[in-house]
Amino acid sequence: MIGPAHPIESPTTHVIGLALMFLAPGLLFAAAIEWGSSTSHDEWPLIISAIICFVVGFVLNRSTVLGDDVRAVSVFSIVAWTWIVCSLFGALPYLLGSMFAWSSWDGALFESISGFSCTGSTVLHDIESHGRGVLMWRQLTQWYGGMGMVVLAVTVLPYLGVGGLALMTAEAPGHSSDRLAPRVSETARRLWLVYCGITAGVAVAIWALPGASLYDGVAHGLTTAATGGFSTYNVSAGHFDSVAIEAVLIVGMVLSGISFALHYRVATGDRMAYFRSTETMTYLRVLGIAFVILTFINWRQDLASLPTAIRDTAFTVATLGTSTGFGNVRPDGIGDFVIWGGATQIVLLVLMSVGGCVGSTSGGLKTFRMLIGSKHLVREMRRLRHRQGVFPMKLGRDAVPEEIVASAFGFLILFFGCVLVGTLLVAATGADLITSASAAISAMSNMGPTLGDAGPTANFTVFTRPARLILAGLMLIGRLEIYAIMLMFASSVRRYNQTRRGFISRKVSRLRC
Amino acid sequence: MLVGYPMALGAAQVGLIFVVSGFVDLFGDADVAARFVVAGALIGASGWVGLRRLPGPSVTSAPTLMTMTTVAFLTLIAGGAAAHLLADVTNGVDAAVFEGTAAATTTAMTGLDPDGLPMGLHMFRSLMQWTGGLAALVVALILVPLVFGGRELIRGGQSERGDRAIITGWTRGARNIVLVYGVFTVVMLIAYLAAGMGLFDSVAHAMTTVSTGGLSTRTASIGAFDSSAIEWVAVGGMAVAGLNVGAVWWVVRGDHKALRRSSELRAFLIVMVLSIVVVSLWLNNDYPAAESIRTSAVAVVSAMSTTGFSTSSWAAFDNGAQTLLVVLLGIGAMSGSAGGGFRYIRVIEAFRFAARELKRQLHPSAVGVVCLNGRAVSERTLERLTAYMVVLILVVAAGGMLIELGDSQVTPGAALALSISAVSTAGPQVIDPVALGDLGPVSKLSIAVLMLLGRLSVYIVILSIINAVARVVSTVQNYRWACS
Repeated sequence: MIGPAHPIESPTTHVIGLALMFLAPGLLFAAAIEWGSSTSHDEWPLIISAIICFVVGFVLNRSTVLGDDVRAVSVFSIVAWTWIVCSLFGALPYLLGSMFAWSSWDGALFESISGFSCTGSTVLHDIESHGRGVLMWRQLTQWYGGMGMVVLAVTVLPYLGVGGLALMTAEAPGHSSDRLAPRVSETARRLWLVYCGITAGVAVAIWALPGASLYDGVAHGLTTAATGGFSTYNVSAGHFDSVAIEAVLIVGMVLSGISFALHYRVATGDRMAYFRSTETMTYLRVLGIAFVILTFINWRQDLASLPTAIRDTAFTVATLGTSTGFGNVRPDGIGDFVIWGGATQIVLLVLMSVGGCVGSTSGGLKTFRMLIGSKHLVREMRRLRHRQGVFPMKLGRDAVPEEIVASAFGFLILFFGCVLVGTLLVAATGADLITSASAAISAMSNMGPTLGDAGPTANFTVFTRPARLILAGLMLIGRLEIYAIMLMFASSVRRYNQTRRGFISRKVSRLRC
Repeated sequence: MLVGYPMALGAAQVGLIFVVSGFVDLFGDADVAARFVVAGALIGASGWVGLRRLPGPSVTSAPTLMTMTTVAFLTLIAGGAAAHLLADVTNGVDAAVFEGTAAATTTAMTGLDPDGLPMGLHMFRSLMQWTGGLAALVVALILVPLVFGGRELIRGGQSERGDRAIITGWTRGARNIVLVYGVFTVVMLIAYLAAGMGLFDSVAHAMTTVSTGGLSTRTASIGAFDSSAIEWVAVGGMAVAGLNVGAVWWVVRGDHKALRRSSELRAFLIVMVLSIVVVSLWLNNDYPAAESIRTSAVAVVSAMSTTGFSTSSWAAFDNGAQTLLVVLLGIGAMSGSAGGGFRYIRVIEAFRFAARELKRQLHPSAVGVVCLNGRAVSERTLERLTAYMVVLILVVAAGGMLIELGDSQVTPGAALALSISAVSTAGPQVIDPVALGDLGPVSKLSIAVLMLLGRLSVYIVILSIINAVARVVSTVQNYRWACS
């Protein structure tokens, strides 16, 4: 076995090393595609990046050990640092190649964070001018980020034990609450299986339709399953101008917004699992109601004929309601939701915040928390009339513990707190209220396009460089559901405090002597 | 009793305001004097008869009290609408209802040109805002605690020490509130006079400053006087009006230590100073240093106290300053003040609650307590707070949507900012301002409903509606039972 005789005990470094090694195959796959690209030849930057990721990852992984038990305080540190380091190394191909100059390092970092966090915002002006391989790497960053780097690590860390469950919960809340197997690593493996299944299904379906190549199918399959929204074309899905491809994407996005554990159960024979899940049914109802209302408004406001209104509204509701962020703007269509009426834009803003279900790849507040919020509201109204009444909260037939309700509201407050601070900071750089607020919500929900100046036909170069870095930070915070980033320093602070206290007590005892 | 008594009480107040305004109009062009005096006499007399004939209030439950409060406020709004119709200054009932609601709910929104309004109507609007501010204080500090056994529903939070001192027994509490409110109005009147404002303007502005109403006798608001002294007096008045009445009471009683202990007051003052500095830095490019500080102070304090006075159009400010002002409008004033908004006490509690949940991620079994001013906040209060947050977000979003649906010329940003401004009972339009008088009826009535929800608290209005529906249902059931 290669490695030092006495490796250091550092769970964070150990998992980061493993995650970096996972990036290498993706980079090599992208390099292989780049070899045949006619627009650019960034194969060597991709290969060099793959080597750097593998070597650095290998060294970090082999020079450290996980330790006997991963403590709760370390879990958040592991998850947050893994995502930050992967985002940094993920930007290497952009900087080493022709996509970004080194002076535009922030653009490369933004693109990488937008990819890993499955946001889909871009600062590229002409996407199609770049090589197919490097664009495939962009798609792959979203695919890696969709299910999560740490969940990927857990699949090959069977010795992680209880720590693995905590890691999965910290990275992607919901996955662990619905365990598919007694072993955590087996649960993670099954989730990745479902993820690969949806990716392959969407890729093949798109490829089979006229107007799209295998490359298009794979590229869009990767970002549909991840609810990421990156496309290899300037006008996103609007490039195909195909109702059939849009229908495939809508189905893919809606499926990716549902809990993957639920998909697994349905695939293994439990056909009624979707219908038993209150969250899933509410999620589908919300999308359905939004579709009906917005179609009606768009049609009534004479923005388009009824069939066009149905087509474009369905796509927009699916893409924003699942936090994917594909665009379907065509010259003759109304896919550009920025030109829709103000009332519809406010509905879209709400839809952007909600996102999909817990345990899916989508971002946002999640339908589960919105359900808890609405049920809590109804309960409070009943309590106002019956002050001594006891009203337990139920989801379906299950009672919801009060701790879960409090946790959901804690998240809600932190989410809106981050949105508020983000809006203020972005507005301070010069953006108007609706652009800065929707950008902050979009970043926190890992959506992609915003309302206002950075809609589906524009890109994030409308924001200043500091604003883009703020939004990149919000993307990471939103992807890791706030807690991981906020608690990542808890371990370091605790260690610092312990050291400081030890130093002070030693000094005091020396003085006494 | 549930509807009749509060209606009579509201009518008596409206009648008195009509009569006073009618007589004041005699000092101007006397356009509306006769109409106001006659209408005031009729409305006041009917209210007085109602108060004498109807049985007095015997509040037994929260829903009953809330319904009575809502009915009394609706009567004030109806009176306000009637005044605008009688003065013949609006071009429809919807516009009159909008103006009446703005006056009664202490919101500085108007679709009219104040420079062209008769003196009597100005006095009516100012008196209405003064009454609305006083009513809001009495509801928040006395009526709700009477029914709920705590001062928690309206503010969703811990009571300040000042509140407890000012309210000991409800008649004495009401007297103390009226005393503080009245003395503060007189002080503001003298201050405005000393700063060089005319008598009528001073009276009108003193009343709208104390109540955080913000309606002015001039189209350009406080800026029309072009006097830095008047602007600084307004800043001082608005800042005090945004404070907890209990805090003001303690200052009067000479206990300054109690003020330092209040987390809410500390937060309010820190945010105020920081915001003035930040906005004045933004304005520094367009104004000289002293003017930028003064303009910034007027805008920030006006937004934080939800008063709505202004010296220049906020829409001309930088995007960053505009967004900051919208946020300040949304948070609003301190609890226990005449101002509106989410209130600082709720913000503090919300973030302490979130911090507790953050700690629970590390220690899931730990028992965490949210503390404020050295005392634990009950879980029940936190539950109300979280529910209030949800309902407020829904109300703002739905309000913005309705405003936009009613008038497609309003941009989404303007609609949301208008919705926040109305719910906070502030009034100024920060983003893409529109002529409120030109808005469609749906937009105007939506804004009016938002103002009412903001002034009375969403809970109270919803509870009143639920109570009214429950009463109707029970009456129908009793009738059916009697028939059968």
